[in-house]
Amino acid sequence: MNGGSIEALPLSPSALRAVAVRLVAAGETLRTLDLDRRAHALCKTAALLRDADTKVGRSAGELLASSTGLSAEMVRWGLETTLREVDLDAVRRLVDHASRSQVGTPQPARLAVVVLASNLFTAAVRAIFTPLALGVPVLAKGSSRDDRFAWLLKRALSEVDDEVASAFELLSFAGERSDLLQAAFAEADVASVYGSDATIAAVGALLPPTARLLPHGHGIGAAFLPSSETRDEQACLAAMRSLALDIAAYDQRGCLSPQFVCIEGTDEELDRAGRYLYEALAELALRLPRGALPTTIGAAQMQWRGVSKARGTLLEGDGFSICIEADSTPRLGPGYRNIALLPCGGHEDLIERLLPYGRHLKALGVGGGRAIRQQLARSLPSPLSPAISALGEMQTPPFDAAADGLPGWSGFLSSVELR
Amino acid sequence: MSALETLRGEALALIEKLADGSRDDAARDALLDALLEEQSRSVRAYGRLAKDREPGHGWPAVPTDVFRYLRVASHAPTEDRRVFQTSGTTQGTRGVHALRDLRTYDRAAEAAARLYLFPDHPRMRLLMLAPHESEAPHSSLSYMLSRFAEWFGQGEAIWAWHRNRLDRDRYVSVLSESERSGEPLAVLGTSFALVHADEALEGRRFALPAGSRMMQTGGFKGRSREIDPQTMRAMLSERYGVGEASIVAEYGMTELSSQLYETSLRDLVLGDSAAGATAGRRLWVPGWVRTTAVDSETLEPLADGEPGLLRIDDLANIDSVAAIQTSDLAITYGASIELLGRSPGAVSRGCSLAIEEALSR
Repeated sequence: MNGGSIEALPLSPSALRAVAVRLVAAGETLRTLDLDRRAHALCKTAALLRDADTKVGRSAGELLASSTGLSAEMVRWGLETTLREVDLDAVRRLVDHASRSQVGTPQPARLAVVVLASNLFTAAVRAIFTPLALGVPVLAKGSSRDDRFAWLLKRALSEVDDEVASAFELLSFAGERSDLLQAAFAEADVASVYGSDATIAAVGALLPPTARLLPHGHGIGAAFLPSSETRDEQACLAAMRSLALDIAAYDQRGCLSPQFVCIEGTDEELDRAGRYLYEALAELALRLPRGALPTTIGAAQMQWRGVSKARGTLLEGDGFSICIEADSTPRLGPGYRNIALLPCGGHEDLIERLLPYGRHLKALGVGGGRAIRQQLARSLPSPLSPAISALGEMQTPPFDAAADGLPGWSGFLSSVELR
Repeated sequence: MSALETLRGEALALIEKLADGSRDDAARDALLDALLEEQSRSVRAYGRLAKDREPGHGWPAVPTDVFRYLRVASHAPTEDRRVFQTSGTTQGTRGVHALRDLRTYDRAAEAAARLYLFPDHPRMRLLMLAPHESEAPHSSLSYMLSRFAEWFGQGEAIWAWHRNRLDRDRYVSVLSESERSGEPLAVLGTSFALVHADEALEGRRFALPAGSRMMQTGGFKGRSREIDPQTMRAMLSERYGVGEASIVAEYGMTELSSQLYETSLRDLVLGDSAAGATAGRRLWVPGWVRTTAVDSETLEPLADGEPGLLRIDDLANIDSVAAIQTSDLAITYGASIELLGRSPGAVSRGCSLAIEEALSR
């Protein structure tokens, strides 16, 4: 189980087809290893990357701050909170649920091709580790904008377990190379694709007819604070502190990041919530500072804040802003810690505001206890299928959490039903 | 007479004085200050933006998006004389610029075009590759070009773009006639229409007579392939036989009343070809306009030579707000600017903006 040097894959269609064939064979070996072996390999890899005292852990912290544009503190937070979720219980739970959910004999895919997005580096963990846990080999295509974390995952896994690592290869190239993607897909049973609707459509068009597409398109998060939390000062303060973390995490760039918050309460309670959130974001900015603002985002931020100020109330802090607009349709902001607070009349009003986003609503953070979240979960109509969580936990889903309304293992296993 | 009407008169007088290309920045700035102060009282949306301004500090600029969501005007809709709208974008709602009085718009447009588009010919034959204002009553470009036909046209201007399509036969006929007669022609059009025309003309080339010129404006707006400015100039030069210095880019927007032009043609005509070669690709800023590049996060002014988001203070914008903040990236050089486009090397705009665009389709 020694680590080896990580070489870039050759970039020609014929070479990639050969890699895919080799991975299919590696997958057969992977499935001969028992679940515990695979689970331990993934958990040790996660632990290695979390540990800033290891070489690869240190590299992760140093490299990712510059490549992602996130602050060093945010990178560390992302690594810690994502990788700690990769524990033995969670991996076993994932595989166990997957097996028990099959109607017949579960059949792992022969090969999964995973196309990674760049907006959230930690998304690569579940994207790559889930199929490996299930015994499915992975050929991952890193984002051309930033694929460093995927390379670090590969390097760490190679250090921990050669055999498991041999079932994971990483493909890296800049620009459009549909010929290479098509070659990579040639042996794939499933393509798990992260990105915009346009990317997913373009990639989907390259798949062989025998392969299944698992789309993970762009999305947003939202949050809801019921009146039970807004009318009580202490509850509101606690809720806003938790929400601040949801907003600040990854500088609000991810698909789970809340872009607007619906607040049930009086105008005064709405204003108070805004003030509490302001204080919480200001405090958090000291511990988890925002990364540098790209010029494009600066322009979008300028436009969004200008409209906010002209129409409502804008609370501007150092590296964040809160817009309070009454009676307005949510106007999605540029992220980077710009959040809108909207008045809301209750569950029905909330649903009405959320419905236009349909399947694009990926996460809903809800203040209050589990009972409120359960009530909402039961009342959300199709096509709404967000992951509903407590405030403060929107961006730290467990390893075996659902993805895009489906179980995390969905698509990587199929069933042979015997009637 | 209201304060705004007094300011309109003063702005008109200053534009008139500076119509020869001269400058009086002190007078411009003093008038801009007075105008913005009055507009902060008379334009509700601007009043909200300016309410936290500290006395003695600069006036904030209105981001162009505000025109999409709020009425930015000091007069009631019943007094609208003309309403310009931005072209439909993937973002949904169109921006609206309502004007009660077109005098400053007209004077500014005529003065700038005379200096930089028609410095040598008081009138000439005009061929338009844009819709006539009767087809596009809310297009500020169509309005402007229709005025050009009145101010600078020799005979009837030809409009070769109808209902979003090129009238190829008419277009070719006018170009050929210019070749035969030796009478110079000015071809004025949008970038995407010029690209469409280029594709429609296939292998056909023209050798337009000396003195001919072209004006291109606007982006491609997803309606044609996108071409960088240098390639565009080379393409047009080859297609029409017009020297690159005679191909002038114009910068304007719905939210403004004034326009900026490249200086290459004027430099050529005045014999200053050396200056045209390097500085010609900069846009001249009229004396009644102030341009500032600002930091993309703090919106604080940057020094000349530093790239930033372009803020434009336009004295001709009497009925709305004189200070406009764009999302365009530019470098200022005193009385000229270099446009860098929309944030070159941009990072992905991220999930939320992508979703907003998708939902707006």
